Amino acid sequence: MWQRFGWRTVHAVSSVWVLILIWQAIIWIFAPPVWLFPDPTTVWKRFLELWHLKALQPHIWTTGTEVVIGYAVGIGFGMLSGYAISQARMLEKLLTPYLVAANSVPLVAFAPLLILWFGNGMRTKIIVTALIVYFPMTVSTITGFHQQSPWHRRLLESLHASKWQRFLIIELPSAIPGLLAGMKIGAPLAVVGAVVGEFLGTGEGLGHLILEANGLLDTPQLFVAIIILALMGICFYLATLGLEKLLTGPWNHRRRNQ
Amino acid sequence: MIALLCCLFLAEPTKVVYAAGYIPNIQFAPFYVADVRGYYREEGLVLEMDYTMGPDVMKLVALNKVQFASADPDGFLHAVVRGLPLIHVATLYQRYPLALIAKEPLLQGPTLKGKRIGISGTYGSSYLGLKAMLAEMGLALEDITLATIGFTQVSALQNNQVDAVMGYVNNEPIHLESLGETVYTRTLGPAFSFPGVGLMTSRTFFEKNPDLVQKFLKATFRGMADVLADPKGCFDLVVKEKLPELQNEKNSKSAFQILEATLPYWQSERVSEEGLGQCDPQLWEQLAKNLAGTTGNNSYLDWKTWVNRDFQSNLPKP
Repeated sequence: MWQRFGWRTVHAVSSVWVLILIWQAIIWIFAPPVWLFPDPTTVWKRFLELWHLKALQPHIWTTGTEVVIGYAVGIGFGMLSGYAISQARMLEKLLTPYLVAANSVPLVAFAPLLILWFGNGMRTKIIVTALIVYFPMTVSTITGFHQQSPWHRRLLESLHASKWQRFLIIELPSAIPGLLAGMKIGAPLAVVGAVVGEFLGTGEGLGHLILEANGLLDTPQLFVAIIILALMGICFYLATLGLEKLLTGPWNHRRRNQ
Repeated sequence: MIALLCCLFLAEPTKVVYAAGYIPNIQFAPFYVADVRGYYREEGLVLEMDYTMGPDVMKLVALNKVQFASADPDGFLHAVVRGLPLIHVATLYQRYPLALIAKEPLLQGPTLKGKRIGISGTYGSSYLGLKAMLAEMGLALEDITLATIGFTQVSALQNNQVDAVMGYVNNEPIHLESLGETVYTRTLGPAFSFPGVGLMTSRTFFEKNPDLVQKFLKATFRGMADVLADPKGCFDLVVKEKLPELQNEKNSKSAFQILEATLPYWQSERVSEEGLGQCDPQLWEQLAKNLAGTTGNNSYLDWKTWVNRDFQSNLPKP
């Protein structure tokens, strides 16, 4: 296991170095000015500068908080409403068109309204994050709860299992792949949601740092914020993968195949 | 000879793109009027408006994706100090129309202390203007609570999310008044007078096409002179030809008020004496000193390197 972990780390570190080399090669070949495309060293120096000035940490904390809370709220509501919809055909027929319609409108289109209704504090950013996570989670939950095998259902019915037993023994385990798919889709979207919220005006967070860098034409700072956001998205995604392993454990079909 | 004449008459006009840096708005009336009345065509140009927002317009100009753009002079100086190859060629607004706006009479030092002030972002002309205004009142940023509210000044103030906002005297107060609010404004005093929005182009474009730059400026300031001479006539023309969404009564009324409030910012004593096109160089000097003082970077003091003041409109003085 440790050997596999070691190889994965080597692969990950190598791919980062390859990416940095490609980036540096672009700089060597095209020699763009710093305001257009800064080199990795300049970006790294700007990162260290901002870090020592403690100008990064509060923004990372703010965005991280918005992402985690917004994600949890979005996932929670998505699961609850998805489950409720999956259990009633009528509800599904009634609500699905509205879910699709609401999901088709880009969140940035009605995010300014949220600012009007809820102010421009962290609450609005959490709502934006939750909303962006909510829709894919709801759809995945509905799909997940439709995945149960009719044979299993009939078996439990013949054994006169209670509703709670049916939920625990068949519905939930069958729905887990769908739920996890929704959670995995939602993880990077949560980061997008937090930044969309911050773009509307907040004064805090990595989205604000991007706006500020753009306003001051400080492209290295822009790159620093973008890279941190990307890393945040990756970490969050990896955390959901870890949760997937924890929940599916030995039943994970990829492991079974191994 | 006939062939030469044909070539002259049939020559394709040169397309120039102007990035306004904001949404279609009556404040761009000089460009619209010059376009509708054919002033650009007379100069052999075809104008295309670009409405990319914010500081990105300067990057677009530097990359020659658009030929001209409007920008606040402080943003422009930040850009050139960071190495963007730009040159400032004319001034549209003779001074900053920035204002601190509130619904209560609290725009004095002691009453403003501890209040929550909304601002679009902690950068750019609004931020610079706020710091200058606070200094005038004997206050510092630490004496107030700053709230970054994006471009929601009107709603934030109306819904009491903030006590005051930084905005433009020719815009937000008019919207707030149209919503039935009582509005108090405070503008920058003479000690902190800076030049307003100007026109810039890329240094390469300027060096390769000096005549074209002059032609563009000539046509644009002809449009501005027309608007100053006959605001209502030009307003009606712009609404009819360029901004049909303003044709309903309510929108039309507030848009015309915005235009009327904008006109004084295109004029100054210097303009009365020397015509449209440039502002008092003293204003640039004050801005450069302010930026050098606040950032600790003396490069700003070399503003003359990036500001070309050759263009001067020969039109009748307004």
